[in-house]
Amino acid sequence: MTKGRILVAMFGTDQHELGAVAVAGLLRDNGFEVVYLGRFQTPQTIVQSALDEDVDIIGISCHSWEFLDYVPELMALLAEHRVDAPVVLGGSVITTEDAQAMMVHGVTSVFGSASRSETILETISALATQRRARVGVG
Amino acid sequence: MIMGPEWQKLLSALRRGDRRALSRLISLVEARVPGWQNAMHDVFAAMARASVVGITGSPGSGKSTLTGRVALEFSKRGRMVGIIAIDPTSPFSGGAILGDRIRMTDLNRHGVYLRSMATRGARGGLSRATRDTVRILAAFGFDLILIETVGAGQDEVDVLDVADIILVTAIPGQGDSLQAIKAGIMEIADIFIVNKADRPGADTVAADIRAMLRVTRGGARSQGAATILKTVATTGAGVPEVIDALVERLAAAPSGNMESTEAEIREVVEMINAQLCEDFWNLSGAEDELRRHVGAYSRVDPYELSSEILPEGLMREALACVRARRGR
Repeated sequence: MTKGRILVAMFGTDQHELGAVAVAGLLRDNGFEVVYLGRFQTPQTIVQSALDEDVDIIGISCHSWEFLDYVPELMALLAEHRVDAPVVLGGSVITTEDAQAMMVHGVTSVFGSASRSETILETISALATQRRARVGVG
Repeated sequence: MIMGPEWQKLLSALRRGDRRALSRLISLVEARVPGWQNAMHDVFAAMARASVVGITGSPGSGKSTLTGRVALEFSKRGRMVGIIAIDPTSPFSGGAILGDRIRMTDLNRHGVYLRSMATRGARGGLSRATRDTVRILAAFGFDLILIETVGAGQDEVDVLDVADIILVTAIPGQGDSLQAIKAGIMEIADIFIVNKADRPGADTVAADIRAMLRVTRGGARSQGAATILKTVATTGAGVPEVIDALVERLAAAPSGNMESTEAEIREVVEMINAQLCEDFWNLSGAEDELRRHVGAYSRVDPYELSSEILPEGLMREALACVRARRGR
């Protein structure tokens, strides 16, 4: 059994991978299985991976501003494909205003640069447990 | 909770080629959600045999890249290809990084299905649910299934029971290359691949493998000699020869290794063992007793304690009761 399967990816040409790697390690060290897609992902590749891997949460690491364009596209594609997995964003460049705008598009949680590991873990745990109960896996 | 009709809906959808149902079914079976055994019974009845190729080798030897290339090529040749990529679960945290998708980015466009799985405590290189996943993929309609697995150590040999053909990858520059590909898989692999062959030492690795094979091939599964090939998986160099070697071997012994007598026996034994353990601990309340005892005393005699929890003769008595009740 696992606490949850969490997808971690970065959009487009965002090269700053250390944050994603750090969070992946944090999740792994706390009992999660991380489906790590890494860099150069598009909404299409993320949706396909989320479906094929039946992940519990879709996590996007954002360290440059292309997420502002990609996220709405991702949310629309997820809705079109009826993917039942919440989306969370994390990253150093996300302002409060950006976070609000993204949540209007349907993003569930946003972790800005001041986020603490404990908060990230609590949120991920809760979301994963809820999603797994919903689909009957856990 | 998954109720009977929901399982049925998923199974029908699976047989209709619904990829979401495929994905969900794998999750439910992997998580051993109640009803999974009946579902697998259905799957088993519905499936046609698929050819299974195991790809194993030490970390960093290019397994994922090679697996991706092999999958793409067979997909272009008209086979329906599924991949199971297995990574180790941390024995400390129970978590895992499943990172094989990074190396296989082109697959989506060609209809190849890739599922990442963690070993979740299983020790033989596969997870408990790998065989189930192979069968679910076969029932969906995949006719070639690649299993990419951790390590190539002496104990990581579960893939032998599941795969019809086994590839082992090795790379130059890993010190004593014989150590990197020692006993176990080494003894029965069908195709050896020296990847990253553009690096110095590739020929030495190939020569070492040849020398090792001369000594150890007594237990070889396959008829005929093992094949040794050189590749640079990232550029694709040498991959056509790998495909040719696979095509040849697939034609000779297409599928069905999971149904060899010994493999079937081992599988049933494993399932019964898993069920026995689960039942015993769930029904006896022994874990709580154990924890209480260990917590209360500073020095515990494990021999005494284990025979208290599981007294000698318990099983014999239990089986006798059951037989008596059933009137045998």
